Amino acid sequence: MLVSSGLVQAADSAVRTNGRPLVQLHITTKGDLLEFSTQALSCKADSRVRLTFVNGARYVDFDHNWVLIRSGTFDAFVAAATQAGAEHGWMPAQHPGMIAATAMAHKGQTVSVEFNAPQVGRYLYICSMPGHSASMWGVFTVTAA
Amino acid sequence: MLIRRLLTLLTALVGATAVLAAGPVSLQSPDKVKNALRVLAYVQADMASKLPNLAYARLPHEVQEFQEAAPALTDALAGEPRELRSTVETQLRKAVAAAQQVESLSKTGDATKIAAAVAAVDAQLQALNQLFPSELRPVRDQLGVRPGMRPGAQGAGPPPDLR
Repeated sequence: MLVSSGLVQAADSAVRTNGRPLVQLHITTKGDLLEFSTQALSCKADSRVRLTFVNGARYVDFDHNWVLIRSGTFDAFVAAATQAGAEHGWMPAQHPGMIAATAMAHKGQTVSVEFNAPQVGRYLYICSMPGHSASMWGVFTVTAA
Repeated sequence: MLIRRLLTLLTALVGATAVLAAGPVSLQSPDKVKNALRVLAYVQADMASKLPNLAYARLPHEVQEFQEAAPALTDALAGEPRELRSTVETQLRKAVAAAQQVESLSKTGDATKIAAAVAAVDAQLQALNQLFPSELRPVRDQLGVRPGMRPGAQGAGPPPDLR
């Protein structure tokens, strides 16, 4: 499990990280809407993923994050995130379904996370703020290298 | 309680109908207006999603977000005729006032009153939406969720085979 802790750094021009091809993904909110800019992201199985997430809200002080979870764990993870509460950033300390997550991004903020792509398959990404995952979700597809 | 809610909705709709009767509304920034109405709808739906699990402590936060969202509509109407802006802002203030009532009632923990207050916000939003052409109004089932679902509804979210 990886959880980012800081603001996005300047883009690294390296093609490979730890022997893996680096894939840079970028996703935002659709302005103040409770929607991600895309409901589909993908990468190859052997890649190192650097995902940058921008909370593009202009008016509403929504907090959002980007969390990659295993398929089949959505309901349990959302319940655990809600139970974690605001004091833990709406993120469970440990959850078997979680693969990677950014920090919570406030309005206008950019956060990022790096992780090794999981095995070939389809995964979900969501915002773990209570209620947001009803509309803030997408499918992360990992294809064969 | 039901009669009072129906009267609130009826009164709001009558007012909206009177404005529409003046003629079709042609806007300078329809996309911005559509977006602002969707943001308000999302926040109201998020507010409503707190009711099933009695998460009333979160309602003041949702009300704050509703208040923050309101200026998006005001800004979207900049440059529009004063009469339209005035009509919209009057209805928008009613919606915000209804949201503030939710915040007040959230402290009581009274499930019936809180649900009625959240429904009143929805009614005021519907009246607000009626001030605009139908193509700009938020469609509950098209707020970024799967077809047939609305935010906060049981089963909303990712496809069943992945969730």
